[in-house]
Amino acid sequence: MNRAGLLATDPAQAYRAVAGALCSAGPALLFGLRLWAAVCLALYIAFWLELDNAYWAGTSAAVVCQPKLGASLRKGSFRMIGTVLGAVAIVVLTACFPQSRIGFLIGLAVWGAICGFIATLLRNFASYAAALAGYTAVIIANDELGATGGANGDVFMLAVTRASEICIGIVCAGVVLAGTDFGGARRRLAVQFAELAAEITARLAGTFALAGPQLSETRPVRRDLVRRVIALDPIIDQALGESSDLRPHSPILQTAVGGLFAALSGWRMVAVHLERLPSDQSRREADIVYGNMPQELRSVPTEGQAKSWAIDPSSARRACAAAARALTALPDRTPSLQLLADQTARTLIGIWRALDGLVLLADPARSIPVSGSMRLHVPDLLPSLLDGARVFVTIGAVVLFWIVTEWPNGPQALVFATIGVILFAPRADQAHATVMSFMVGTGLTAAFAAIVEFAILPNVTTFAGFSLAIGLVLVPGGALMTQPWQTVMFTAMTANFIPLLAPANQMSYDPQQFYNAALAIVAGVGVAALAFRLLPPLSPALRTRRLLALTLRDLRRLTTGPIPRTANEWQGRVYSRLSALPEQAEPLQRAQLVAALSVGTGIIRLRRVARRFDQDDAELNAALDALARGDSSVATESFARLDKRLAALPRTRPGARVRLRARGSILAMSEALTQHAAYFDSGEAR
Amino acid sequence: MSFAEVNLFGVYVAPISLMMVAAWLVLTALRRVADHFGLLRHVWHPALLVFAFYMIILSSIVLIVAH
Repeated sequence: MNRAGLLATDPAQAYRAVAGALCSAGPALLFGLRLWAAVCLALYIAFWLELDNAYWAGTSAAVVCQPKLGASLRKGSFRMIGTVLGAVAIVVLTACFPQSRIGFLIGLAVWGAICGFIATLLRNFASYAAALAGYTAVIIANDELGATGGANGDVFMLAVTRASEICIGIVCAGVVLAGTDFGGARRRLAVQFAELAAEITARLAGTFALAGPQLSETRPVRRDLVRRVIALDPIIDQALGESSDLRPHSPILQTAVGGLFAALSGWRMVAVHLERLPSDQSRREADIVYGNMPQELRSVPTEGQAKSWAIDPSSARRACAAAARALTALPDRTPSLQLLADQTARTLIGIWRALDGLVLLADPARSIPVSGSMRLHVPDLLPSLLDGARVFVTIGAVVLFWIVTEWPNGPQALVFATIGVILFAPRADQAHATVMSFMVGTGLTAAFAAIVEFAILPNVTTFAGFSLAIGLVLVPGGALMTQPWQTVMFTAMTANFIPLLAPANQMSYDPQQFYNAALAIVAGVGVAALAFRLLPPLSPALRTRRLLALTLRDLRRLTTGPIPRTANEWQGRVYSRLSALPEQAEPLQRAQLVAALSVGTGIIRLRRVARRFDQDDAELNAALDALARGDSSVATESFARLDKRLAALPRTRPGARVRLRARGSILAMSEALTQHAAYFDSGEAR
Repeated sequence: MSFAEVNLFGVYVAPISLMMVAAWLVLTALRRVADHFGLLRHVWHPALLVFAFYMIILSSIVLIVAH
């Protein structure tokens, strides 16, 4: 509504419009106020304790504050870990190179590179802790380094002071946020789990009802669901941040996510198999499996199901377990029906694991056993190595520039170059754009800080006045951080305002000093942006190709070597690669990765079955050799011969059920190999 | 040699910062020309070439001012 229009309407309507606008902006403004209160509290305590650089406390409080409570608390605790690690590292580094400037600076660059490497390997706030360990060391080095870059003997006290200031900021932000916000990550996570589990179950039931060529229409739905499952990861981190009672059981939540991936993979195999079957056979077998699914899992509309599951998932869990048992005990099965029954059971077991997560969220006191141990799977090492190399080169270049030019503010530029190049590296192809946005935000903040420092603060003598003055920037900056437009720019505004202002117990209003410090900060962030341009991260297309090639290599390794006890390790590795697939990956490439997952699981199962029943015969070896060579057509033919051989064995011989399951696996693998022959035949043969 | 600090609205700034801005303006103009003729398409690492050009321009400005 334009201004004239607003004035033309009656006052009551205008009042309602203004009240509505204020109500919608309310949560954002409230967050801005929280951030401001946290910074003020941190600065007050740091001033009261008469710490050297009190502004680091305020900076930490501003950096830790996130619009979501769980994210803030989690970020705070990981920031503390990273700070302590960085402080210890710089003390050790100084002790190792007491008389060697070159050794110390190279050591600093190597430490930064290691932290940059680990920051990309880990995810979410664990990645943030690694990044922080890297640049905390540089922050302390900034105070420690003399004019020529040599370390001095005060490093221990500097490390203790700086770590204390940073921890004060973290605690203050935690107190203010936890005291004013009750959080909702746990409930949000429960709703997400319930919605995803209900939707996958309903879609699976719909697949049986549909059973025909039109099943290909379900592919975009599956891709969207995969994206939603991947997006659960940060919410889990937030829920763990909010609820300390969840933390000891965090593997259950990770297993629940794995269950959702397994359910999607199982559903995909059901849909692909039904699509390939002749129409009448497809209808008949779909009806048999559908008939063994309990009413609760096939008739309730998705939305209502999700709500009821979020409140009480126990009955749905029981239904999933009962259905999985019924499907594994189906009588008179053919390999095709066995495949459908197995994959449906796998989907339902996946849903059951997701519901375990829901039970935990509803009542953490209930003990749920966790199968297997959680392992960190690295999808691809190359992006992390590249990030580490970039950090090393950037720190080296800035240090060299500083020493050669004798720039007094060189160490400050080094700090911000390191922050930019380590912190934003995990954003991969978005890193450069993000750093540029961060630099624009820093430049704007420098202007705001100059106005506050030279126009307002000289007339202020009390801490209350000072607080009001910084609130003029922090409250709107914090509020704008919560909206989706240019979030990084406003984050830079709130994070860099306090270090640019550099408040101290005895303020000095020196424009020259301010200008030099601001220039160093903006230049440092600019160097980070330049580093991302000159040593760019791998392109999404190359990352996708590498993930596919690495998965194929691992798949071929499964055909030889020791037989894994379970498929969990293999599945975990492929899930990590599915999660790491760039958003720009083609649907076909996602399908290839999922096909590799099912072929790998089938190989493990077949090799175990063959060993158990002494069926380690020529057909299986020929099929596995052909797979390792990248010859999927020969592999499919060998699998067909093996299937015939298993079919020829009399039913009275022990292990008939396991043989039938093996035949189901052979069928699933053959379908995947035929469908994605180009992928399985590509790359170097082993 | 005339590397004296420059008075910019009452703030004395280092001359190198102004030279950097000047070099960037020259580079922007040159990049427009290169984009117009599609020259950067034929380069292995366009960002590296642009950075190298920036350093050449900045060094030239410094040398010109020094003389």
